Amino acid sequence: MPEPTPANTLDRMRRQVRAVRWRRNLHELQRALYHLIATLAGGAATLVVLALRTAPGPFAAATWAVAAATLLLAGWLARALVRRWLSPARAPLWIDRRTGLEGRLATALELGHQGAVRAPFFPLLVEDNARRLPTWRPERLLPDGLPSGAFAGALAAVGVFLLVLLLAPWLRPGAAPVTSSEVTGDEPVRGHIVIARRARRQAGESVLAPFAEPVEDDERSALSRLPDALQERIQARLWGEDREPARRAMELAERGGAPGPGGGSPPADRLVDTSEAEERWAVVRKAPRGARPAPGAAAAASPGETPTDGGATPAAAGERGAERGGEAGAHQAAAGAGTGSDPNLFGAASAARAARERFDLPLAARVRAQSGAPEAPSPGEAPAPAPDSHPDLGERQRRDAPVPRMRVPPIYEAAVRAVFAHRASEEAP
Amino acid sequence: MTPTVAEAAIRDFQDTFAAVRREIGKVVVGHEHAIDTILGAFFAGGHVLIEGVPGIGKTLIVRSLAEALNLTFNRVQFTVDLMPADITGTRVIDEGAGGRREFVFVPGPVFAHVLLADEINRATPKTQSALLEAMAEQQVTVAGTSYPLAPPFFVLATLNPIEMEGTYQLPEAQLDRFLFKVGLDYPSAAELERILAETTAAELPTVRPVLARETAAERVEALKHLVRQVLVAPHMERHVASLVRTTVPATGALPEAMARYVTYGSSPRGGQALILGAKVTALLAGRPHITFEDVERVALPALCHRLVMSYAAEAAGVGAAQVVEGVLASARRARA
Repeated sequence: MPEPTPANTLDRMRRQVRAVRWRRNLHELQRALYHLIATLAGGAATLVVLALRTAPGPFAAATWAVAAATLLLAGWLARALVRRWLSPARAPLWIDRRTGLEGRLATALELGHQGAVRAPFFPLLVEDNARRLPTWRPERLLPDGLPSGAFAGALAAVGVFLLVLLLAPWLRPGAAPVTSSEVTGDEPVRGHIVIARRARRQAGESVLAPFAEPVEDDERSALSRLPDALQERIQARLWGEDREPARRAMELAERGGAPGPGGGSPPADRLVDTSEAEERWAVVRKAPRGARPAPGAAAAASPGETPTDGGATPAAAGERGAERGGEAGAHQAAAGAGTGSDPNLFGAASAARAARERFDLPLAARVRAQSGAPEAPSPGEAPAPAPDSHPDLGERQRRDAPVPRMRVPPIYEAAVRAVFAHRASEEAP
Repeated sequence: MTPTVAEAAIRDFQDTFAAVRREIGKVVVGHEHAIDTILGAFFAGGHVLIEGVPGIGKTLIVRSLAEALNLTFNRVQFTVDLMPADITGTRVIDEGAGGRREFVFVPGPVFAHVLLADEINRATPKTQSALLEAMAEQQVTVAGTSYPLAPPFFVLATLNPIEMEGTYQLPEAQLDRFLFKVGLDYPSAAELERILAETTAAELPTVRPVLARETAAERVEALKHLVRQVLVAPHMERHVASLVRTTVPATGALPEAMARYVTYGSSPRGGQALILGAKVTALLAGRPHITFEDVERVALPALCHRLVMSYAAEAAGVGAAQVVEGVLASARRARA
């Protein structure tokens, strides 16, 4: 049997190093994969729970947060994998460190590669390495088996994800307690919200469409619509056709109060006002010269919806309903319509309204006093739109801030209405 | 060299080193690490600068080393009026048998295997520089004639850290020629008791030569040659080069916190010192190659005296040793 030469021993060492390297890299790859699965499953479970439990607004924020966290984790995993990955140059050093070979292996391989085999101490070094070859066999250095910690983590995360999918039907929030058809005297406020929203939607489509510029949806980028689409898709997949009431409840919750028996709703006026001011302002500013609101705009509220102000006439109640609905209410008419509006534009002063202790006059309305007005417009013509020296700034302000309102004590309500109401038969004050 | 022969050579080196170490230990109490470093520098072919207060055994260590190795030994007490010729030697007029007069070179104390330059910082720079050629090139030039020094040539210079008045700071170029700088501390209480007991007894301990006088020089040279044959892998060369470069603030590799304390970093001689010192350490460990740990073990004596520290370091009380340890620590982290 021929005696092993340094060259043969070096070849054996190189083969064994290669085997160790592949084994180790495979192990690391497995570990990274399990970590990645755990990360993705965890992120997906979080997203599903959020999609089922939160309103679109918070869900969008949470989606980006979860996506960012998942990306960060994935990046960290990739970095860790690169750091732990054994390149051909690093492998001997790693084995040396791992097995306490004190640099014998790396020195022998590097010097062998450089052709330093004629150095006096080189044969001794190679022989020393040959003696120690069994101590770092691949199967001894890296025993078979999964990276157990990472595998358990991945398994747990996937389990949580499946559990979330399984529990999805029970994760539906309580539906909105009142719909338009369910409005009763016991729940005037919530019923009113639904009525107002529906009225606003319908009136907005029919009356304000020509005036209002296309907002939100068209301006939103595909990326910003992504969370909505994702939530819609998740809900559609998990809840099917039953998702609409739950979505409505989420929207309600997002607008200020948690649905459900225990959750208190905010006052209806507040809910409506905050969202409508912008639209009103847009209408007032954008109305073309001479444009009038369509007649019966106020009556655009759904027929058959129950008015809640006890003392008001049905017409006035309808007007107020539309006002709360926001699109075709009295404020718009007063601001831009000039003459020809209903004298009871704001509705009669009532005890019910006074009891709410507020009466907001939208300053967006370009009002004209009874006396001292610079120029009275001809009857039937809409007043000229207010000069806007900074249209861009104004546009942004309109979008960003609700229309400021002036708080008028209820005691002056009748007087204010009288001053600002337009009369059909005579010239505007 | 077959593996068996190589193993025997390494074992011979270890035995010789241990024997010399043991003989020195008979008369020098304590200072084990300093003695190991001095012996390491000797076998690595370098020179050593010893810093320590008077009376702690600097001269004794050097004298014992020369006696143990059975090499010639000279001592020069450096003073302010010492001239270069007092070290290197000079030419004198010699009258021959026929009445003919001629200049004859009379070798100075530098012509010895082991030279102790005691309190080297007391001599003028001119005299100090007379040692430069001897240390670097192992030869002296007098009146245009070069005289080689017989190998092995080993200079041990001492510095007194106190009594700085009337001293001349060693120039950086001369400091750089010392392979290692070793600090000698005060002995511990137990060591002091042993010193008192051994040096005041009726029979003083003596050093027995380890090598035969006739062959001592060749044996030492053979051992020094063996040290040079220790294997250094490319990754170790890269590591040492990286350490040396890191000490240089201009490279930007030194962390900002430390960079302001260092004015000049180590020269390439620092890297040579690291590798040569590591080679001796490897042989002592029975290895034919150097490792990261070998380099770390000699890093402080090899690099500290090569760093020129800034005034900020002096004000902050930061020493070169802290900088070198920081560099080693960052290299260790990068390796992990």
